Amino acid sequence: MTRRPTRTAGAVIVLLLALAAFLPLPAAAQHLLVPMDRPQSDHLKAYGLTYWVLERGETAEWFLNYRDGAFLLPDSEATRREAALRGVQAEPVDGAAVARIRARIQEGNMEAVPLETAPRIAIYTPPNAQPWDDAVTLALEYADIPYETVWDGEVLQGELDEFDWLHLHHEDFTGQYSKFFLAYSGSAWLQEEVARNEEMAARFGLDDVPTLKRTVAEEIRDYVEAGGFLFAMCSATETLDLALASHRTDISAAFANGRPPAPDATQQMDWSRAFAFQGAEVQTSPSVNAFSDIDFHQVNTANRRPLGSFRLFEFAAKIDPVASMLVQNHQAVISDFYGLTTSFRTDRLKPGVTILAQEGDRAKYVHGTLGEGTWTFYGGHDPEDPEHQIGDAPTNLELHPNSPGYRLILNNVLFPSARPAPLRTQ
Amino acid sequence: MRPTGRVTMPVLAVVTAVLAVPLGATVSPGSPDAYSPLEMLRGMVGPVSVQAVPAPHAASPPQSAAPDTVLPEPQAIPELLASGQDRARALAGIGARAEELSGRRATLWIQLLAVAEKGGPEAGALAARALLHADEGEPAEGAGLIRSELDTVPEADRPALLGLAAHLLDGPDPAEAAELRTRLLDLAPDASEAPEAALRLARYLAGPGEDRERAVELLEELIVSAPNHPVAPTARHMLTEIRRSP
Repeated sequence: MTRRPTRTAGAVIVLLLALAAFLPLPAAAQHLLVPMDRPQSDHLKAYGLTYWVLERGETAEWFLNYRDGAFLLPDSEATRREAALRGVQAEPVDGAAVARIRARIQEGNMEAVPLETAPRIAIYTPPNAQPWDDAVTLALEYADIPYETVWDGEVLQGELDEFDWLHLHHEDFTGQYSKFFLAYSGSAWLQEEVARNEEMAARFGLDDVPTLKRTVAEEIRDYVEAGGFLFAMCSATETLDLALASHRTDISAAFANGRPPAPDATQQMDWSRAFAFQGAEVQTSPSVNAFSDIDFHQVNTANRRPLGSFRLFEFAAKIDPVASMLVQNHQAVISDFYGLTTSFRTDRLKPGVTILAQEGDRAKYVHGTLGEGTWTFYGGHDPEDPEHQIGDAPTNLELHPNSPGYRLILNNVLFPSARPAPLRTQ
Repeated sequence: MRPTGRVTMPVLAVVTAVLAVPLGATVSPGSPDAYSPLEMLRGMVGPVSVQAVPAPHAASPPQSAAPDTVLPEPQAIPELLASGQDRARALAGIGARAEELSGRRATLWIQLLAVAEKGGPEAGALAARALLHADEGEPAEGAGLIRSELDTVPEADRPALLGLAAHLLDGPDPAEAAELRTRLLDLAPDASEAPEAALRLARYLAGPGEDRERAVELLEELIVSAPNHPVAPTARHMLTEIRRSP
């Protein structure tokens, strides 16, 4: 027998509903929506919150192009608490609201991407590096995303296999110490760097530091080819490819290995080994602080170009979710920032490379695949310190919680979480 | 006499303004960013006319000031508050006193304004007497006075008085100030004074040789219970710093 609600019961329900309207938050919504548009109080920590959810074994969703890349998290007391502690704005949403959002996503240039795992993150960085030497380290520290550091020893011992995501510190893989000999040859920190690298080369029975770095670059290439995610910034982008492409010639200055570079080094480059670039002219002069003509801005040379702004491309989220993930942002035009490698000449990019952001006729942010893995290169050193100099004070991200430039870094960190399931074949 | 509903919103404005003062920061009358207690007071008491007693930093008299209304001397304020007869004049006196002072002392008088506005006559009078001690360079005596007479004021007014007493002790006796804030939080964890008290207590407990774990607990409770409170960003920053430090 079905009992019909009495008038009293109805009044109680109305009263309860009225009371519920005054509660600060619904007692138990099904999800928490983390908006990533301008009202978000802390965009960078929102990535950390999502990572935290994944780390606990829960799943999340990334709503590409919906509210500038919102995250949908399962609602729980613990997640609300964590959001509050991190200062991240999160909105409780019930099933009906989520259904409405999904309908909008279905209709527009949007997509819902499941996030399933917390990637294991490694940062390639020298043992003595300070966190503020590297924008990715700063971003991960600020967003409270755990990571481990690796350097040449770990790479050469095959430890990259333990990680899903590898970030390269602004290393010079040509083994020329970023050509800092020009200006800092007497500095204790440079002498220490030289000694450390030479010791590492000797430990692995390699002739010199350029050989050491090229061997490490090859290991990184193998890691990506086998399915790893690589993210590089600043000079690591350009020099990684130069190291890979120079396996049959010598592009290093005499101060690095005791020999002058090969006179026909540019002609001997094998770009088939490189990730992103081809046809570049190698800068072999020890007195020019540049590696090649891949970088448009040439910050430390007489040909230095001024900074402008770069624009993120909008991709079809349903057709190209990977590129869409990498450009999620609340700001489409972002102020440029220098690095030893600031931007990439588009005529030096290989066919098939996806340009994610461009400034005039040069690319700032590019992406591609190699074997089973993917790589992303982002020019410049620190998105919130456009003219970063050695010895500058570290960037305090508490002053930039909504940094659009730093968001691009963190898009890459969560990107491996969305690795699609392998296609089932008969 | 209790405050009427007429002044509820101004009271909130004053409380918010007091809480919004950055911790450790001071109010400098005359600076472009300084807020004027007297101006706020004028907004609160509406038609009550006041005439500023000449003072180095006093604002010019309001246009509506009645010529025969003068602000009380600071020493007369406790009595005026206690009697309840001329409360508006007492409040105007507190505001004027705050304008005469600078730095932390001015902040204390602004806090007194909030106590006197929000609380009953006993609380206002007790707080005013305590501040007169502080004005004479005896903040610990002022705090002691509040401590010894706290039971004589209604329970609802005690958190504000404990908060004021703790402020008085921040310089001379931080440990005692921490004890008073602990008492405040035990007595009235939901009081409007609680978030700031929790933050200051956490800052003390995070110091060398104190209780870092308790500091972290306090900050977490504060942020989770009041994520949008004006002190919440400072609490988050402090929490990050504590966790980072070895």
